[in-house]
Amino acid sequence: MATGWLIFIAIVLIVVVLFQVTRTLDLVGQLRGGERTTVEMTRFHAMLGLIFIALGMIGFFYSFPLFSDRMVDKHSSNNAIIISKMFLITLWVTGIVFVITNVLLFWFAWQFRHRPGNEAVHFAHSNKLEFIWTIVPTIVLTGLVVFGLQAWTEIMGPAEEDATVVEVTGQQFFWSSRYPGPDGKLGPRDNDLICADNPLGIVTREWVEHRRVTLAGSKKLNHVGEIEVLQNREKEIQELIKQYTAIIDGSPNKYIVAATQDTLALIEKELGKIPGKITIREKALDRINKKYTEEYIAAHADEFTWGYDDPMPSEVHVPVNKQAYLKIMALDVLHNFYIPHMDVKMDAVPGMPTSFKFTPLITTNDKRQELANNPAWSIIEEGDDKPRYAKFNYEVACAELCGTGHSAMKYTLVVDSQEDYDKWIAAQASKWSQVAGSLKLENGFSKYAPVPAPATPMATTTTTPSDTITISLK
Amino acid sequence: MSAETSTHAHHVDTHAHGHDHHDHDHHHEPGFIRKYIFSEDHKTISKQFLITGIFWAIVGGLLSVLFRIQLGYPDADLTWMKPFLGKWISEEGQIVPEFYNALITMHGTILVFFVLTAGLSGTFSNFLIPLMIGARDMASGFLNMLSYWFFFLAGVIMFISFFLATGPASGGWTAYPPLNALHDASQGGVLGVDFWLVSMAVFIVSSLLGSLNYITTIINLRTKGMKMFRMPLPIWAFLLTAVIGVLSFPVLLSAAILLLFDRNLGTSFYLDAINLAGEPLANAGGSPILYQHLFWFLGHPEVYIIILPAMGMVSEILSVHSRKPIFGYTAMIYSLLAITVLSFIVWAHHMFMTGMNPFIGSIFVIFTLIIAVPSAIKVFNWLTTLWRGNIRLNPPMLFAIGFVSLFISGGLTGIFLGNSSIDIRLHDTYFVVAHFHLVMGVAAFFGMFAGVYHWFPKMFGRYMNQTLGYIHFWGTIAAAYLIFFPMHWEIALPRRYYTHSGFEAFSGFEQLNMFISTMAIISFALQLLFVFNFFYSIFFGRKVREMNPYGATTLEWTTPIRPGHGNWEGDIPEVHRWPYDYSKHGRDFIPQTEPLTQYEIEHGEHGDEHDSDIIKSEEHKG
Amino acid sequence: MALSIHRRFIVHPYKFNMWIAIVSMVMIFAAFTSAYVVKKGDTSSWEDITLPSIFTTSTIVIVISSVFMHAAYVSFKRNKVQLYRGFITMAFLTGVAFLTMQIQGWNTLMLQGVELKGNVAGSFIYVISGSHFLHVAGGVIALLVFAIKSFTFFKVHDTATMQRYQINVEVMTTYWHFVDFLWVYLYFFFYLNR
Repeated sequence: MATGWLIFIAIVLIVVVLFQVTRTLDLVGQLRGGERTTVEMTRFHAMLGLIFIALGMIGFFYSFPLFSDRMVDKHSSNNAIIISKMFLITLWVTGIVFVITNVLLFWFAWQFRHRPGNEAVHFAHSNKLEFIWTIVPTIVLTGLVVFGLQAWTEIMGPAEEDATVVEVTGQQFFWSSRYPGPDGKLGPRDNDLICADNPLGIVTREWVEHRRVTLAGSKKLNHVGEIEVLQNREKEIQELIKQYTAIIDGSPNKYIVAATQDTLALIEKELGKIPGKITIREKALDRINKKYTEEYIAAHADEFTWGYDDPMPSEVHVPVNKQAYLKIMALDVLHNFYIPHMDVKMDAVPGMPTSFKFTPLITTNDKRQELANNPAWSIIEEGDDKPRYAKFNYEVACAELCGTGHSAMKYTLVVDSQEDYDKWIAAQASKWSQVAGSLKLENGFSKYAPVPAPATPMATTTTTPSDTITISLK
Repeated sequence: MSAETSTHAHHVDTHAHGHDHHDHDHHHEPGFIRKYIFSEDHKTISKQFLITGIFWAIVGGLLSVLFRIQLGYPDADLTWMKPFLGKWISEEGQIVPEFYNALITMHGTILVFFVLTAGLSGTFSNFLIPLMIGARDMASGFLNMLSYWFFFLAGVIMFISFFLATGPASGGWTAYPPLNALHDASQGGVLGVDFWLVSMAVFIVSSLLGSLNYITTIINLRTKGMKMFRMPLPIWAFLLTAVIGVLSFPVLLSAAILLLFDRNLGTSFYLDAINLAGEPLANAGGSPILYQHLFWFLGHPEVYIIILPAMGMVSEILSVHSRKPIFGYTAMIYSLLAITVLSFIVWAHHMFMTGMNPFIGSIFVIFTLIIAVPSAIKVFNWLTTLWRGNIRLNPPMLFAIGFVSLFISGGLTGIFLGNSSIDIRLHDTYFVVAHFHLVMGVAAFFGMFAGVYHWFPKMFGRYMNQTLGYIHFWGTIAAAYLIFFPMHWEIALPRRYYTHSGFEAFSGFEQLNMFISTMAIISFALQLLFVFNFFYSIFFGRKVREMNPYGATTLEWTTPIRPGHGNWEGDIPEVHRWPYDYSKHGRDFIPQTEPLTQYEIEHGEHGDEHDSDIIKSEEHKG
Repeated sequence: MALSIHRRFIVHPYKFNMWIAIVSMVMIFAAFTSAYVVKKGDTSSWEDITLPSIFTTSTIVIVISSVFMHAAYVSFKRNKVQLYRGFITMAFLTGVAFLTMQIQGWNTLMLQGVELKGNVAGSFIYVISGSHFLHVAGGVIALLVFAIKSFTFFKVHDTATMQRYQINVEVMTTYWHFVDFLWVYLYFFFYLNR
C-alpha cells in the first residue's frame, strides 16, 4: 500500500512539474512575440509530422509479415479462396490510396508551413480537379462492386443437389448438429415437442406421444406430467407460505423472522411464475393435440419416419472437395455459425432457419501435415505428448453476442477424405439406428413412448421451513 | 413532446418578448440558477453539453480500460478493485464474463450516444450556430434548455443502471433481441436493458428537441445577407446532422418501444419459437431481424450524425489556419448532402450475415460503396486546401490534420467491409472494431478536440495551454494508431469475446493484445491531461485580448471577447460575402461583414475566377 | 432580439419547429406501419382482425374536432373572441370524446379476444393506436389550456399581445390537424392492411 501511495505521489509530482514547464514555455513564447513562436512551433511540429508519418509507414510495412503467420491462413475452402482474392485486390487499391494521401497530408503540412516569405494562394476551386477525383473513385469503386458482387453471388448462390447436408443448431452456449441419415432426409422439427429427451424437437409419432405424456402425464406409464408437477408445486408452495407466515407471526426471534421472510419472498416469486408456465404447457399440449391428429399423421406418414435415422453426432464431419450445405437454426437467442478457416459465417436466428454453403478443400489430416512444416506448430507444449499440429482441428465459434458464455461456444469441424467420411457416417447411422430403432412403431400406433426422465421441473427451493432456518441460523 | 411544444409555446413567446427589451438596453442580470443551470442562453447550454460530454467520455474511457485489462492482461490480479466493483470481480481477482459484456455494452452506448452525439453535436451546434449565422440565440431557448435536461436525465437513468444488483445492460450497444428481449437470457437482461431502453427514449427526445431547434434556427434566423451558400461549412454540417437526427432517431424510438413491449408486456414483435434452457416461451410470430432493420435505419445514419459535425469543423479550421479558402466549397456542401441522402439507404450493410436475401444484400453493397465517393471528394478537397497554404500548426490545426489522417485510414477499411463478400470474413471481428473506432470514434474525437482548442477562446475568453495541447495531440494520435492499426491484424478474431483462449484458431495474439491494452491505458491517461488543461484554462488560462485572434472571417469573431446573452452588443452585423476569403487580392483575410468591391466576384457562387487569382498572386510574388 | 427575429422569416420559428417535430412524429409512425407491413408479409401466423366499428365513429369525431379547431383559428384571426371560445371548447370536448371512444374500441377488441399478448397483428393495433392516443392526449391537455385561457387571458391583454398569441393558436391548429390526419391515415391503413 505504501509503495502504491509513493508511486501515486510521484506521478502527481511529475504531472505538476510537467505542467509548470509547459506553462513557462507558453509564457516565454508570449514574451518573445507571438509571430516568432508561431513560426518556430510550426516548423518543429511540421518536422514531427514528417517523422511521424515516416515511422508510421515503416511500421505499416514492417508489421505486415510480422503478423501474417499468426493469422488464420485462408485457403481451406472455396469461399476462403474467393474472399482472399477479393481481399487482396481491395488491399492493393486501398493500400495505395492510404500511403499516398497520408504522406501528402503530412508532406503538405511541412512544405507549406507558415514561415517568413511564404504566402498562401487564393485557390478556391477547380472544376477539372474536382471532376477527376469524383470520376476516378467512382470507376475504381464500380470495379470493386462488380468483382465483389460476382464473388457474393458465387458464395451465396443456391446449393448443389448432391451437397452434404448438415443441420446445426445453436443455443446458450453450445452447438449441436444433425445429419439426414440413410434415407437422405432430415426429420421435421417442432418447437412444441422440445423436451429434455428430444432437445431439438424432432417430429416422429413417438416423440409426439412422448411429449403428450411428459406434458399431461400417463397413468399407464405411471408418469406425472409437467403440468401436474407444476400444479402440485403450486399447492405445495401455498402450503409452505402458510407455514412460513405462521412462523413469522409466531416467532419472537427476529433473525428467524428475517430469514423466513427472505425464503418467503423467494417462493412467492416462484409461485408467481407458475401459472404462466402452466399456461404455456397447456397451450403447447393443445396445439399438439390439435395438430397431430390421426388424419394429419396419416397424411404425413412419410415425414414422420424421416426423423428415425437422423444421427446427432457431437461434431460436424464433411467430406473434402464436395459442397457442404449448412442449415442453421437457433433455439433461444441469436448466434452465428463461424468457421474461421473456411470463411463460413451465418447468423442463427430463432424462428427463421438460415443456410450457408462451402466446399472444404483440405482435410483435417492434410492440414495437420501442412502445419507440421510450420515451426510455431511443431513445438510440443508443456504437459503434452504430441506436437501442436497433431492436435489441430478446424474450429467452430459463435460470432454474434449471445450472452455470458459467448466466447465458449466451441465446436469442431472435421474434414474427411470421401472414404473416411463414408465410414464415419455409416458408423453414426448404425449407432443411431440402435438408439432410434427401439422407438419404432409397432402395430400402427405407439404403445410405448420413450420413458421420460423423471419430471423435476424447476423446483428451486424445495426446502422445508425447518431446513431453511437451521441453514440461516448458521 | 409535441404537447410540450404547444403548451410551452406561450411561455417561450413571453420569453422572446422579454428580449425586445434587451434590444433597448433593458438588460436584467439573471440569477445564478437562471444563468448557469436552467439557462436558455445557447452558449451556456453548449458548455453544459460539453462538460457533461467530458464526464461521460471519462466514464466510457474508463470502462474500455477495464475490458482492455481483461483482454490484454487476463491474469492480472484485480482483487484491489473489489471494494469498488464487488461481485463483478471474481474471487480469483478477474473481471467476470457478465461484467465484461456489460462493460463493452455501456462503453459503446455511452461513447456513441452520450459523447459523440450529445457531447459533440450538442456542444458545437449550440455554440456555433447562432454565432456563425448571426442570430441572438436559438429559435427557442426554452426547448434548447429542455434538450439539455432531457440529456441529463437520460444520463442519470443510464448511470443508475450501473448500480442495479443484476448489473446494467449487457447485450451489446445494439441491444439485439431476443438476447435483450428476454429477462432470463443474461443478467443484464433482468432489469438493465429496461433502464437502457428508457434512457435511450429520453435521450431521443433530447436529441429531437435539439435537432429541430438547430434546423429552425439555421433556416429562419440567419442575419441579413447570410444566404445558404454563404454559410460556413460547420453550419451546413450541423444542419444536415440535425436533418438526419430528425429523420432517424424517431425510428429508434419506435424500435425501443416495441422492444419494451416485448420485454414487459408479453408481446411478440421480435420473438418467435424460443426455447430458453429447456423452458418454452409463449411468444410466437415475431422476427428478430425486424428489430435489426429498425435499429440500423437509425444506426447507420447515426455514424454520420457523429462524423458530419467533425467534418464541418475540420473544414473550417483547416481553412483558417492554412490562410486559404476551403477548396471546393460547393463540392463540400454537395458531398455533405450526398452523404446525408445515402446514409439512409445503406443500413442493411450491417446485416449481410443475418440470413437476409442475398439479392437485397447486393443492392446495399452498391449504395454502400457509392457513399465512399463523396467521402473521397472531401478528403481530396481537404488535401488541396493545405496545398500552397501558409499553414500555422497550433493544436486545433494539428487535430484537424489528425482528423483527416484518421478519417482516411479508417474510411479505407470501410471499402473492405461494405463489400458483402469480404464482409463474410470480417463481420463481427476485430477488423470491424478497428475500422469504426478509427473512422468515427477517434476521428470524431479529433474533430471535437480541434473544435474545443479552436473555439475555447470564444467560449471562455481564455486560451488553453498550448504546450499541453501539443503533447496531447502527439500522444493521442500515436496511441490511437498504435491501438487501432495493429488491431486490423486480428482479422479472424471475433469481437465481444471475454477471452479467445479456448480456441486454437485465435491463439498467438496474446502479446499484441497486451500491447494494444497498454496503449489504451496510456491514451486514456493522456486524455486526463486534456481534461486538466480544459478546466484549468477556464479559470487560469491566458486571457484573450483581441477580438479576432486567428484572423478568421466568420461572424463569431465579430462579437465581444466574452459575448453576453444576445451575442452582439449593437446590431447584428450584415453579411456580404462567403466565409472563405483568405489570402485574396493580397489581403490576409476579408471578414464576411465587408462588402464586395465593385468588380469583385464572390467565391462560392461563381466560376473559375481562381486562375486569375493565381496569376495575380504570382505577379505579386514576382 | 425579437426585432431581428421577426424581421425576415417566411415561416415563424415556432411554426417551423412544429413542422419539424411533425416530421419526426411521422417517422415514428412510418417505422411502426412499415414494421406492420413487413411482419404481415412475413409470417404465416398473421391473424386478420376486425376493427371495432367504434373506430369508424371516432374517426368521424376527430375530423369534426379538426373542423372546430379550424373554426376557432379563423374566428381568433377575425378577433371574434366569443366564437373562438365556443369553438376551442368544442374542439377540446370532441378531443376528449375521441379519447373515450378509443378506449371503448380497445375494450371491444378485448371482448373479441384480441389480446395485447396474442397475435402480432393485435399487438400492432394496440401499440400503434396507443401511441397515437398519447399524441392526442397531449393535444387535449394543450387544448384545455387554450380553452381556459380563452376565458381568462383576453380580458387582461391588449391587441398587441393578442396578435402575438395568434402564433400559439396557429401552432396548436397545425398540431391538431396533424394528429387528426394521422388517425385518418392509420384508420385506412388498418382497414386496408387487415
